[in-house]
Amino acid sequence: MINRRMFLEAAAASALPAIASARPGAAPGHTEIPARGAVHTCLIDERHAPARTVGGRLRATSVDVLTIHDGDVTQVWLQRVGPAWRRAPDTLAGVTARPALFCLEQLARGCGLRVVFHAEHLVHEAGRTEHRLLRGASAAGICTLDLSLAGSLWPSRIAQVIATYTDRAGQGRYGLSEAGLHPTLPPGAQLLTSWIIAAV
Amino acid sequence: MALPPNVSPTDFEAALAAWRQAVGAEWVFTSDADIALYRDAYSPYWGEPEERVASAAVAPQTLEQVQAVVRAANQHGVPLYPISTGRNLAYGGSAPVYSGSVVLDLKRMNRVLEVNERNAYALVEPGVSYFDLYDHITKANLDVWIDPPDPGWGSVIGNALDGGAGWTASPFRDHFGSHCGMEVVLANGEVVRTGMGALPNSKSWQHNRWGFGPWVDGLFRQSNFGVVTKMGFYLMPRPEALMSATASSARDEDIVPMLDVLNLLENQHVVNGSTALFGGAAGPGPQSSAWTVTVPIYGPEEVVRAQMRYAKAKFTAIPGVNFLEGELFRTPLSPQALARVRLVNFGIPNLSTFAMLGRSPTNPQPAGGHIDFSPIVPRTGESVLEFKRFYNENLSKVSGGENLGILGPVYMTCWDRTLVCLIMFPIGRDQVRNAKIRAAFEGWVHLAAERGWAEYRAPAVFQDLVADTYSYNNHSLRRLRETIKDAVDPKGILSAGRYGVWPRHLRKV
Repeated sequence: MINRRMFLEAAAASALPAIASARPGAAPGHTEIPARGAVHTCLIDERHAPARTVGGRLRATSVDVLTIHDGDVTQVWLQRVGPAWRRAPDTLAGVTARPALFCLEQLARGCGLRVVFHAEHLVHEAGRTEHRLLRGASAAGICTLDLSLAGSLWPSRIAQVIATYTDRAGQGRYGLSEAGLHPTLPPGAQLLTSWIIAAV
Repeated sequence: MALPPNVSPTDFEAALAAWRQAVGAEWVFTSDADIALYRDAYSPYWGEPEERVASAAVAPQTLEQVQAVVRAANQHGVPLYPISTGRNLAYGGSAPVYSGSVVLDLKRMNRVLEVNERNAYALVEPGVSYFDLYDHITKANLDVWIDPPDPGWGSVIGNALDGGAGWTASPFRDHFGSHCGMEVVLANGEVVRTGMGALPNSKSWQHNRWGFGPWVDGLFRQSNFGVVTKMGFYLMPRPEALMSATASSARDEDIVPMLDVLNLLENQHVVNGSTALFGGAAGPGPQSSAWTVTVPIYGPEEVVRAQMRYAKAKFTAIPGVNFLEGELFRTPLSPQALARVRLVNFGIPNLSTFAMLGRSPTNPQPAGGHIDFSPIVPRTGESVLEFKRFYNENLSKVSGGENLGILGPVYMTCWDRTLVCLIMFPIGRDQVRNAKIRAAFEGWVHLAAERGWAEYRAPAVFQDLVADTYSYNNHSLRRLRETIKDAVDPKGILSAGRYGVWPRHLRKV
């Protein structure tokens, strides 16, 4: 008998076609028309396997996936995000370490954007991951249990959140995130953050 | 809605209404969510009653709007706290020194007004970041460099006014020192232009910084005497090459002659790059340690090579000192070279410092948030050794016997003729730990002052403490500054308390 965990893991594994069909006009042969406030670009910290997995999932969608190297957002900021935000407050997502989010959050302030979704994923050395949803979870339609039950397939769930994000009335207007700080971690653990920066 | 201190609700509402009229309602921020963006991400009082927070914010876009905002604030006695881009992290960020002040956010004033390649200068507004200026210069294909700090996201004007510095060649590294002319809005809304800018239709505003008569620009550095709305800066013509070398010795005492040689070379303008001093083993007790001095030289290739030969001869005259020349980089850099160099040394702003300071296999528990204690000590090897002893002997005492993650000393020789021995304090959200950090910081300030050392710059919450150490002749310098403050800002509406200068009605007896 299928249990809830198996159901969710199966759903996460099949998220690829689910993500691709989640957007209006996403059927083959149609020109993609992003929903209002939809994520245009997602930054992936290539050093982290879960981030690469999210990137891989998103490449099947209309989200433009960019890689940051060594955790440094400078080139992405100078060449893509900065110029884009000077033109319009495009929604940006990412799966990165905290410093990248901190930098972009600070830069976003000057462009009328702020962090509207923020989750953290403590990846232990043995592979187990603990999740914290810090903001925007209900608007994104996700809860901690979803990620926990997804097990090792949690990156697919995050990819789904990013791919299906749209501007929503009543979106929270949040202050600064905690991304500027580094908490003490267990030995061998890594802290990843998944986030969305949007106009509010 | 929060109310600024000593301001009646009627006065505050009147000021807000005037600001909405002047700048547009969408640029006056009073909601909790909007004001929360102005918190200092590295505040050592985060979440505590003593945390400095804004009561509101207003963001003008033009000089005329700044004047209107300031006039309304003056009329109604509302304290303002001007910020440029608000990224003065580790020194207070965008939060006011006087808690409850209204942040005057100048980010929307983001025009690069002029970049003159022929005479190598720029004129900018306060919202222009180093990224913005670099972008402007790059797109216009101008052959001049900026001198960015690290990180490069801050305001060109804001960084200079706070005493910041960069990483290319002298004299451009001293950001205030390489400015030329400014435009300032005073507390009564009047506009002043300094230097040659005081001449109507001046064509030499950024050609001569002194102008005629007493030079007032220094009044606006690390101060609260006016709101700077334009500032000129000298730019460096792109140097043909950069070459660096290192001079090193395994003996502790060799830092004395090594620093003497470095000082000579810099004062002769043979070495013009941002030097660095590494070494001095941590831990208690006298220990032998290796010292390394970096020796960067910018200029035409043949001149650089000749100067490096001279520098090598000077350093290797010290017995036991090794001199190792590095690669000579020709500019503009090739893509391959760009991937290998430290970008700020080539005038390229970036954010890599956050990635470098972030978690990594070699740095599994990074500090993240931090504040810095930055005392100036005499630029001699004897002072370096003295500071090393001072740090080692007092670290445990000021830390209450605990390991608080304090890092130091970092010996900074990047300012001309100045040595800063920096100590870094990690800041988090643990209030108990933050209290210990604050106590340690205060301890260092007092101990350093006993030795005649004090900071060149301080986090907002410690500016009173540091200002108190400059107490020569019964605090005559502070009394002079207060006299000026009372004259130019009698109602004390601009940046109350910044760098220890309080308006009359807020001064402690």
